Amino acid sequence: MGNIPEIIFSTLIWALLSTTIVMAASIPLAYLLARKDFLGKRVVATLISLPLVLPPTAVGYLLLQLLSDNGPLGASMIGLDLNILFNWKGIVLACSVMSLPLVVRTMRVSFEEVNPRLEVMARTLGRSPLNTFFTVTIPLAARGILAAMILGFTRAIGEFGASMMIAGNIPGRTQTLSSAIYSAQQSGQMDKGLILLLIAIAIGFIAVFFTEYLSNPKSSKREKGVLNG
Amino acid sequence: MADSVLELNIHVPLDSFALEIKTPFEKRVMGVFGPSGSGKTTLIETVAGLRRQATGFLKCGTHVWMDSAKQIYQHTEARHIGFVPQDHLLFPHLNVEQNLTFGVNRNSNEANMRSFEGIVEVLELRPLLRRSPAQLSGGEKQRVSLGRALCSNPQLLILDEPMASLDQRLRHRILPLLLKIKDHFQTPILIVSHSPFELQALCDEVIAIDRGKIVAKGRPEEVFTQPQLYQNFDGESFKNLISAIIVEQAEHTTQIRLGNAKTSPLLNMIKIDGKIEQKVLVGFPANDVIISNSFVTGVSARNQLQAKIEKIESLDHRLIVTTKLLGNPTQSVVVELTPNALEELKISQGDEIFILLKSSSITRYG
Repeated sequence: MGNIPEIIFSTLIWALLSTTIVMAASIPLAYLLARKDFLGKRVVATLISLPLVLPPTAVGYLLLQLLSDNGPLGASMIGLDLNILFNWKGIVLACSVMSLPLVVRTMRVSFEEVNPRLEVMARTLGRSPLNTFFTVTIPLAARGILAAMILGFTRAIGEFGASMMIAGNIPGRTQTLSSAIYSAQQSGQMDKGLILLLIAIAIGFIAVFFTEYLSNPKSSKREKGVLNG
Repeated sequence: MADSVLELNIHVPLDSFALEIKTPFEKRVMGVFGPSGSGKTTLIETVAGLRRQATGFLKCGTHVWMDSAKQIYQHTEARHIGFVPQDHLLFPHLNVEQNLTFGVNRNSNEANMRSFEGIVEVLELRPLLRRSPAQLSGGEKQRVSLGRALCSNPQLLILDEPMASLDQRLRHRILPLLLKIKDHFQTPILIVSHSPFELQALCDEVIAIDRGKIVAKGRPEEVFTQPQLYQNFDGESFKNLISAIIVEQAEHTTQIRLGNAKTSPLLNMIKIDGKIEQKVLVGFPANDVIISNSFVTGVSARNQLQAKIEKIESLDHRLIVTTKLLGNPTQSVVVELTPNALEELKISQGDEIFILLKSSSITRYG
């Protein structure tokens, strides 16, 4: 079993990597779902949300099938060994797939809350669609985007089922905070389990507290008062 | 032929009818009048490049914005429009100054700075620059929205129902401001409104549309004295709006001159603030005017103006009489009469008459 600082450090790094990947994918996806109508939109939305309702082990199993040597994304099929299974890349992949729905859904709502007429306004003032996206849409949805990011990050930290299936629980290689808690409990290392538990609570508390703050900061209440008055 | 300010020949299919507008606008301040659902919004959205399904031809000054035959379609951001929507649409994440400078301005930096300072001055925005839109009142938001549009140095300023969202008290304050913008900046302005009063006060040329088609076009007083458009004044009577110059301030009254010429007719009204030679916009309702076929003595009305009857149209049980003032033939005055009164006075088109007007009937609007 790996030592505690190492476990915490690698868990945080993997969660950060996964969050980065998920954010890069979610911003365009959530914007498309919020603003555009296209063929198969519902199917896309459903597929993205699927990991949210499937057992994590099922998602893990699906990824395992896809990425195994003879799977559709396996080495013999695409002629290139991605070398994802049973190493840190597997963890990052599992975390990304499992947190994507949460991030996309949260972000989609925050994009939908941006008044599209403000975007039109920016266009009339000479801004291109891309420029409008970065100067109007993103800043106005920023709070929701940040909240989505934190949610995605905490979901990645807590990932267990899918990562166990495709990366295992190899101390010093693929052990994460959640799988280490599991191992500690299984092997009767109560002290270590307790420390890991406290660290998990601390990370979770900070994240949720921050999300709460973002969804209802005091300053926005005051602004609303002025608007209504 | 000289370029018109704005040339429209557009076709936009809508749910229950199609918007089909074909007209050049020759004057700098143009108005579009129509009841709600007549296609006004579609018209401005088409001009602004927000209706991709529009076809036809659209030209502003020398710039062709759309020419379906030549497959030309300029996107919104390339049209250089200053759009002032009804609900102001200020960017809530930016302060007033950032809102004002948000537009992409093609001017040189120096010219830019000059125009920014000028706009801030004219619209009295300096004390607001650091505030956030949430801290502004309705009238202040309106001013910032106007300023933001002007700061982008637009080729066309579009005002969508500029006074609709404001209450009565604010309306009287925004109108002088809009007049000031009209005078200060040489930008062509397209105003869309369901209020004839607004268009009359501001525009040099108006089209009236209904169910997507033009039903009248001309100077505002020509358009709004047509019987089918006459009764659109929010339940009030038609208002004669006249720009005038203060010529004398007495103890209780102010004398104004209707027009620039020395011989232009004079009017007395209840005292208003203002310096001699200052421009004002005054108005009086058409049903407050009395007509006489000769000069009247022994009457309390302080004003008697000579005018010539230009046209008489009947509407329900009333007559709408359009007259031209002698001494300022470009200025018309509309009078509402009953058919009996006309018969008794034995007057008809082309006759010279006297217009009697109480000082207290005259209101200042700008």
